[in-house]
Amino acid sequence: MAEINLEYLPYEEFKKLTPKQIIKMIKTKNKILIIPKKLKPEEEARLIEEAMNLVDADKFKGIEIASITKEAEKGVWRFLKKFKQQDGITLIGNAEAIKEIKSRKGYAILKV
Amino acid sequence: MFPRNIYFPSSFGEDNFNNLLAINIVMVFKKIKKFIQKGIVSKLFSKKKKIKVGFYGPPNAGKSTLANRISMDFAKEGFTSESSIPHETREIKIKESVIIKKGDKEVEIDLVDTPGIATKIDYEDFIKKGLSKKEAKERAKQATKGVIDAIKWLDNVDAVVMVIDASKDPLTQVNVTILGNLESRGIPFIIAANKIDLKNASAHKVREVFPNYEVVGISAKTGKGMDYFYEKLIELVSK
Repeated sequence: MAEINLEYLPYEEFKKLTPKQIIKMIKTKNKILIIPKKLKPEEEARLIEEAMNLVDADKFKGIEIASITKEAEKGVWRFLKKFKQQDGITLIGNAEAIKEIKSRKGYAILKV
Repeated sequence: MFPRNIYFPSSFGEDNFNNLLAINIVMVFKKIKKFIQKGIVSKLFSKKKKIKVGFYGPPNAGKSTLANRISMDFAKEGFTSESSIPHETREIKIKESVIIKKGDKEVEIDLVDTPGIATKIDYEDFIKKGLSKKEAKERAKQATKGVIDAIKWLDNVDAVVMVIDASKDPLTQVNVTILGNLESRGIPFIIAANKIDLKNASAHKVREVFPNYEVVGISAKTGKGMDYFYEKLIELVSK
């Protein structure tokens, strides 16, 4: 049975690392990073870009990424939330280790 | 074109009011930054406004089929290849100056077909579709570049049609990430819930998952729902 390592990465630490450093963290090991924040859309996009840069046919196929958030706010509060970091957590894992992550409001399902 | 949605609730405490004021100021600056970045000021003074409409979504959602249908309907020729094999589009394809007419309304747009955005690309998936190992590896390599190009092109499009396969679960991280990026960059968009000709497809399901966005059910393959889609497309690029 394959091992999966879960690693907690504080958001402040995440911000100090480049997308390349983050992808390398999960590229070398069967690791899932747990970041205690919902990442901004542009942060997610940068991670996807970097993952694609590092895809190597036999060694690295990409990442799985998912955010778990609570029920979305409605009305004016939902609008205002766009301007601050949302509560939630983000999971980023090697696609080799995680086949699929389905995120729903409040929870996520990982297929390993 | 001026920033909208500025909120000044009347029954808040001083702290909340200051917070809201600060947020609104930040928002106005973000909008001004966007105006400058996207060259909207210069566009206001140009004689002809050309609008680039990007077709975004995950692989195999039907982006190329939709872009081709629009091109066929209004320019009488296709411009991008379609296939059931994922990542058929591996580079940006552009059809310039397509004039969309609906009733008394008319807009001129450039259609920008983009490669499907994915978080992982496994060459073995292409082998399962009948490609040789060498071809599969080459396609995977091109597909990764295609994803990067598609993300980078978000800086160049003026509006987006987000194409989602209505026969699949719409709540995927790729869809959420693309839509989040469109929102945060202030790019106007509509969602085309495609493939409604399929038995298990449901545009309603897509609307349920993304209730705050404009969702139009279509079949780019059969043409179902396209009349209403064109109305919404004209509205989108006229904003």
